[in-house]
Amino acid sequence: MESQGLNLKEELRRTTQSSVTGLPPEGTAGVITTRASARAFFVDGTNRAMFSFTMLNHLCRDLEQIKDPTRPHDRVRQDVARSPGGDSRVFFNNCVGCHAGMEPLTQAYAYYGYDYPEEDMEAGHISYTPGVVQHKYQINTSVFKDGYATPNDHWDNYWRKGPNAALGWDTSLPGSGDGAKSQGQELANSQAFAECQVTKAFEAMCLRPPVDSADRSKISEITTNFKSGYNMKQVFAETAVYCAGD
Amino acid sequence: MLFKKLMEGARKSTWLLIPAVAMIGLPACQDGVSNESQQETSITTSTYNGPAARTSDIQGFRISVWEPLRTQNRCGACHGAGGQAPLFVREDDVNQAYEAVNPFINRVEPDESALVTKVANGHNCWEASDSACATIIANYIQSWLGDGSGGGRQIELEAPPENVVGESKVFPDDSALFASHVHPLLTEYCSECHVDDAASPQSPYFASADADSAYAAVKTSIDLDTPRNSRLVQRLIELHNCWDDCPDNAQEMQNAITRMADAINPTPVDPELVVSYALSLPEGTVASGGSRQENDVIALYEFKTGEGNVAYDTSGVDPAINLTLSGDMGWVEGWGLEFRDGKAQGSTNDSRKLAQLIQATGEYTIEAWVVPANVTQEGPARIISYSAGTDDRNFTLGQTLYSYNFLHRSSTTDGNGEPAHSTSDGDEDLQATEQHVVATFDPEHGRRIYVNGIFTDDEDETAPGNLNDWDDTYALVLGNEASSDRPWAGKVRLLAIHNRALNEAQIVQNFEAGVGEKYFLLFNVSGLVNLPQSYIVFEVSQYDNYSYMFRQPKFISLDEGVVPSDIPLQGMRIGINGKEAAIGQAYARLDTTLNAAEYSQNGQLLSRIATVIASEKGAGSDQFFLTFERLGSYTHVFTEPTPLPPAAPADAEPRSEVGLRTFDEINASMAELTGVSQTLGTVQETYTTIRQQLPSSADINGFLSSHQVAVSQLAIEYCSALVDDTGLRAGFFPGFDFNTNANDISSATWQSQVVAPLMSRFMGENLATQPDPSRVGGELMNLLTGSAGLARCSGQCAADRTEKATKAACASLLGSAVVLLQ
Repeated sequence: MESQGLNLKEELRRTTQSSVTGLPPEGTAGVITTRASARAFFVDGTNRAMFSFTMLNHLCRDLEQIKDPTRPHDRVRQDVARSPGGDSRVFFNNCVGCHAGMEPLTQAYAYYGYDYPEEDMEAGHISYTPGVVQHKYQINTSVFKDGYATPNDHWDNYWRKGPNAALGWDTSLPGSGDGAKSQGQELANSQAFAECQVTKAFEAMCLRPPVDSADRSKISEITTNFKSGYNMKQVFAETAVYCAGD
Repeated sequence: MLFKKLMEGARKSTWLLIPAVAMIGLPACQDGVSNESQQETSITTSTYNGPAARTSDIQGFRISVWEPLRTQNRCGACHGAGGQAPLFVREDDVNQAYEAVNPFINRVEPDESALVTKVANGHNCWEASDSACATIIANYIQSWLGDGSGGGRQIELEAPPENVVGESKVFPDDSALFASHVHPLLTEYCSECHVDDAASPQSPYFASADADSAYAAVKTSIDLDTPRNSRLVQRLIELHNCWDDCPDNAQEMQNAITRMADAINPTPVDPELVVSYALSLPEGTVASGGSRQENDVIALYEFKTGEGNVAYDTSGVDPAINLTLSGDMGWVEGWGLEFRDGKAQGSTNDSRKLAQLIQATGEYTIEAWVVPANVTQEGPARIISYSAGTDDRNFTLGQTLYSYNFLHRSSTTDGNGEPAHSTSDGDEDLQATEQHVVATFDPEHGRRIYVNGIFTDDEDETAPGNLNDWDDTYALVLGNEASSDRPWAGKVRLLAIHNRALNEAQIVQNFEAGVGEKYFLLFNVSGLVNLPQSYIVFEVSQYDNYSYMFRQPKFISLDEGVVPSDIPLQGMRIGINGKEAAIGQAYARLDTTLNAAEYSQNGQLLSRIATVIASEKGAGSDQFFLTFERLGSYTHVFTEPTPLPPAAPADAEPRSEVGLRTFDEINASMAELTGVSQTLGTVQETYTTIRQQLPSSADINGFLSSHQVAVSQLAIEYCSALVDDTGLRAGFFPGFDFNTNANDISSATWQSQVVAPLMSRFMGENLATQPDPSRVGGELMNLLTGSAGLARCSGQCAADRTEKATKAACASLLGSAVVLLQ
């Protein structure tokens, strides 16, 4: 597209993801289940990368910022050492702050992976195995054999309680479900998601991050508008007007 | 005493000191694991010429207890024939010895046999540690009774004392105490990172300027009961970003927390909570640790002593290779040794039994529970070694980064045990966490390494060979080389050396048996479920020096007539020292029903998940209890404090409102301004070449001179393409005649037909922030018609100079800040 200088506005055609990737409609979850996203974050590993980068890219929150070790530990998987290097203080003060809340959300990706031929990662494709948990969820199970063994793709959002309730979860949603589609909706309907998109638009238009209360209140105002319809064009327009100055 | 028995696999101990003829007719199998061999050592006892054992139980006693204890350096010196009663090691008649010993044997709890407790309490131990002798004798008795009962051993669950939950200090709702004592230190010294608007914010945000927000975030980092245990203090002790002298800073922080804690009175546990009775670890029932395969153990270290500078070999196989501790190392709570830069070494004389017993069978196993401190050490760093120095060994189990190394002297390897057999680098089998590692050698498979019960799939690339060249003058050493120059950092929680290669089933059995001191804690909930003698039972162990592991929660009643019927149980939490643990609640979402269908004589399992809870005062003092959101008809709604909205961040420094256009923006802008397609050959080629040299960020502070060079190159290409295209240029510069010699074009024409269209197109007009048009126009005219102007050439311009001068004027404006800045 780039070498041909195509005009994306004219050339792009709306279609369904399932018709392109072959995933069944119930297995699609927007940008999360695209091939490029799978290539980047479902490849190898444990699928935690998908969650971590979804939070970073789409909610503008690094996991470091939302650590909360006080959530229940019952979903922390078997591959997480409870005493790294023989010191469980590391687990209490670092590891579990993320894992306690991340694991029950990442379980939504239990049926996703990225299959590729040996030595040619680029030639791969997203894999979706409904009803069968990917092997990557069962590696290194002996690290803590009494940890959680993932049986399905049921997810729960433990962060609806505790300090991360401040991310602004949609109270009209149940806060739990099965699979990436409903988990994606949980994330996308949060205040943090909307605020993240507006902030990114703000930085793109104003060439700087918000710095003062005037900027923050404007972002808050545009975020409120954005949540009624989720129209990014409108967000860019409003931020452009704000930053255009005189 | 109330008690209930739990079936548990028997601990298997060592056959030892037995002439081969004595083994005929012995049970050959236990727990489904083959008992293929018995230990023959070079250390023998006198021949027995008395009457044969009348029963298999007596024969078991003879083999497992009587033989090892009847020597003169053990019990035989006093309790033999004609000696002091009881004559349980009389050498003239094993049947009478059996009758004499029975009153001193507890067949339900061998550890509690009088034969064991007498020695444990200081009666003529042949080692320096009474507990070591007691462990050895208990192992003998367990071996005997385990055989006799066909592999099962019963654990008694005893009703614990009924302690009510104690008092504790709880955080007041108001942040005033925190704000006046601790918050000032945090805002002064921690606010560069632990605030949510820091450049690289690090949670928890306890240094927030808003005291309420900071107070909400700091609670898991403060221990009101033991201020020194507070995370805020411990991190400074660990040299974490001290502001001055770390010990002083830690003391300053501890003093501040102490002042805050002193102003808070201890309060009883919240009367609204639904709680069990409380108990401490020592008040639990000791769990034996499961069934281990130890038929062929020749050296065994469980590190139960917990103090002193000797780690005892409790295999019972003489001579014991007791290890002397030296250097930087210490004991681990809940059994184990921690090596930092030290070692535990046996004498070469005692270590000789390893060579003798292993050469006799031609195969062996090194089995250990280890916790590597990191995955960066190499050398290999010696975990367990039977060697003389860096170049001479019989065997060594070592670590190189993520791999275990197994060096072993044989007819196919050299005196240093090389080539070594190692686990694959890429598999990263070694991790810095507690692992059960087993290294085996046998003539069929050569060397193999198993981690956590699983074969690592790394085949020995060296032919097996034989052990004829082993040197029996080496020493067994842990945590280092005998020469002290290959230190290993980590913990060893158990070491067993067998003179047989354990098979996979046996290795899995030993892995599943686990390691360390374990207790069954019975939390009394009789009053809550309205059933007699009812308990929630946890298996609890010290996981490391800083935590306990709680696993296998069960509901059980010690009254065998009791069966629960549809009793709801929801939201179970573990309490410690009068308050619910802030971190580690794995059963908070538990929602189940106690009922007859899932209840058996071993109780009803509530969860397969285990959790770890941070220790506070140490294993001897920490008191645990359970709370419930619902148990039976009792309920308590667990409420969490409403999270405070994050405080508004402080205003940042004003930022430039002017930014750079980035690479694609520049390309697209130039194409749009000139009307030249981005896909035109020369333009696209140049852009592809210089793309990475163009600005990638809009930040004006990131502007580099190299950016300007690339922008200029691209501008020249676009302007060249514009002027070379007669159609485009005619539209861009209407009326301008490119065929007229540059010299002959008047300044006014250059101004009106070249400079003015360029400025109009590229700069925009009537914008509040833009370059001064008159100055820009002046610069361009000076470029064209000044004293050294491109369009003047001292009166002798070439024919193509008109185009070139136009291109130059175009590029100088297109490649300037008017396009680059936005």
